[in-house]
Formats: sequence, structure tokens, C-alpha cells
Amino acid sequence: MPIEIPFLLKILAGIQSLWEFASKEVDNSREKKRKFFDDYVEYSYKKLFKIHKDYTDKFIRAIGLMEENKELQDVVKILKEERLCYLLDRQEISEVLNGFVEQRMARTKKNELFLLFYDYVAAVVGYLHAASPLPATSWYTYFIEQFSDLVERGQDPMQEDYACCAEGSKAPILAIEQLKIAVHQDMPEAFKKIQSRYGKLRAKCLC
Amino acid sequence: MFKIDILDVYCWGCMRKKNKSGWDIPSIDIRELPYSMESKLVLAYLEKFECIPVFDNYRSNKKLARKNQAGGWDICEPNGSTIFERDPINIDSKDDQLAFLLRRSWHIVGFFSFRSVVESTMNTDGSGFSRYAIWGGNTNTMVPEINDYFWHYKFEKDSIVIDWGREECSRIKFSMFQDLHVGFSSSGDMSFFDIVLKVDKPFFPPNAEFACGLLHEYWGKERAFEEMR
Repeated sequence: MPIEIPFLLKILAGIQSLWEFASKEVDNSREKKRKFFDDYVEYSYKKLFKIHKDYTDKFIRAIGLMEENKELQDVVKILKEERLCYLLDRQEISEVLNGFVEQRMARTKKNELFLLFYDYVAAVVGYLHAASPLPATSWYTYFIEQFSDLVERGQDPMQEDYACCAEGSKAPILAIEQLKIAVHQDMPEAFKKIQSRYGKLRAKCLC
Repeated sequence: MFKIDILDVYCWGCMRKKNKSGWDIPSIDIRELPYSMESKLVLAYLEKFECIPVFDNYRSNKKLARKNQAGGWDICEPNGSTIFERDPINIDSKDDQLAFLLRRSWHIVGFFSFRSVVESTMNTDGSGFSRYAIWGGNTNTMVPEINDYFWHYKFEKDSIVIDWGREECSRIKFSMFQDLHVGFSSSGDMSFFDIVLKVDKPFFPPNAEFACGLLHEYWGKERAFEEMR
């Protein structure tokens, strides 16, 4: 499945649009705010909602299959998917986000819409990390490679000594644990934060 | 290249006791000096103080290094005359205290579990600002959670009375002394703090949960002129 990027591009466009709000004396009317909300917040929120559901379902499926030690090709497919946090490494995204952070860090009072949208973006970035559950890139890469190699060769990846992971033969158990933490704790919490900030933005823009 | 103009200091906050080098601030092993000409630490010390605290690891002796005209180093014994060797000096005068409060930006410095910024400033017009920002992971591209507070203050005897608005106030007792501390930002830039401000609570509203575990000690760093008002 191709990684979901349009919603992030929408957020970036929202940031750029927000700069117009902040920097120019543009019409800050209710209609403008409503349009801002519809164009950038609502769109990205709906996409994220779908991503959240998809990822939760997939991770739950991966956990179940790993625990039952069956259909591991499907697990490989899920684990090999590009991680959501990598979206933030794309240059255009990181540049705009960095610029946004820089502007937010200026020690000046900001208008409320700017602050609420910033908090929303921060929650989205937090979510992307929460939905990329397995440990650091090197561990992840090595584990997935070996795991998928074993599945491909018809060997049992749950009984292997993963020599390059510090946890050795416990690496698959660790992977399951991390997925469980993501699904039952980190992702719901991170998404709850998005929802709460979405709600505040909605109230600001539509009421 | 993006650069955040902030001071997210982690290091040396906990280095309050003298270590093997004999210095209680970052110092350099004398043997590394020839290879450290361009290091941020060396450049920062030279620019600010024109000398560098160094140590001779074999003898556990602290020394001072100054650049000579030939481009090498002159090594000398500390004689108590540099700021590095000074004992803390209490600042008791109200006028001095107020002047320092206004002319420094105040930072809580130390090792945080995540990259964090905790800072406050006070202005001559009676307004003040506090920030608590935390990055949820160890990466520069992460967007931090930021809590900003804008408030008003009155300076009284040994306290600062902060009006948070909505009829909520805090009285913060404080003491102040001169003592040099050094911090590093996550990008490796050095910062020098010359004043210590001890408080009975940090500059955050009473209901700010994140403030509960924070140190009750700020370090003061000279503010840029254009930042002051």
C-alpha cells in the first residue's frame, strides 16, 4: 500500500495559509476561518481518522498472526510497510514544519488560530511517531529483514536466534509487545490528542 | 539550514561538583588542545573569556590556556583571577537583583528525559513570559509541545509576585548569586550563565502539572539588547 501523504501536504498548505492570516491584514472573517477549517483541518482529520483505523486493524491482525504463528507472509507485508514517521523526513515536509516551529518559538504573543493549529499539527506529528511502533530504525530494519527471510525460506521466525538484536531469540516477543503497546496505548492516546485539538479548532473556526 | 534560536540546554546542568579535571565547568585535556582549535567549546571560551580551562590528566592539575601570537598555546597556572575560579557571590541589593532579573533570560538547565526548553524573561514594563517546551523524541524534526504564559509581575522585598490574569497570583521567593555555569544546546553550541536564581517554585501557574518536578533553580544568560523592552 502506498504511504499516505496527501493529508500531510494539506497540513503544509494549511501552515502556509496560516502565515497569510498572521502576516497580512487579510480578511479574518468567519467565512475565512470556516474555509481554512474545511480546506485544511477537516480534510486532514478525516484522512487521519481513516489511517488510524487502517493501522490499528493491521497491527491487531499482525499481533494475532504472530501469536498464533500462522500466515506470517501477511505479517511481513504489514511490518514491511513504510513507517508513518518517515513521512516527516521528506524534505518539503520537514522544511515547512521546521519553519512553523521556528515561528511558534518566537517569544511573542500569537493569535489563537495560529496556536490551535500549531497544537493540532504537533498532535499529528506525535501520532505519526506513535503509529510507527517498533524500535529504532537499525533494529527495525534488521529484524524485519531476518523475519521475512525466514518466512520466505519456510523456517519458523518465532524460534530463531536474532543474533543482531540485543534481545536475541526474544526479538519477536519484543516486536509483539511493542505492537500491543502501540495499538492499545500509544496510538489511541495520540489520536485522542488529535481529536481534542481538532475539537478546539473546530469550535474556533465554526462557532 | 534550519536553526532554532533557542537554548535547549541539557549538559553540565548536573555538573555542579568538581570532576577529575578539577574544574566544575567543561574543560579540555591539555593533550587535546592542538586538535581542538575549531571546536565549539574552544571557540566559545576564547570569544567570551580569551582563555580556556584545561587540565593535565596525568597530574590531575587544572590549568589555563591562552592563545599566543605564534598561533600556539600558553599554559599557565590558575591564580584565582579568572571568572572560572571565583566562588559564588551573593547578590543582596534590591537594585542589583532587579537589574539582573531584567537583563538576563532565565533557564532551567539539566539533563531532561526529552529535549526540553524551560525559560522565563521579565521586562521593564512589568510584563513577563514563561515557556515550557518539550520534544517527544530525540529528533530535530519533531514538533515540540509548547506551553507559553504571558503575565505581569511586581517586585517585592525577597519575592516576585506574578499576576497570571483571572485573579490568580503566585508569590515566588527568591535569592540570587553570581556563579558561572556552562550549558550546551542540542546543536552543540555553548552558553554561559553568570547568575543563579533560586526560587521556591518555578515561574509557572500553580495548575501547570509539568512544573511539579522541575528544579527550583534558574540560570541567567545575558539577553540580547533587542530582546529587552
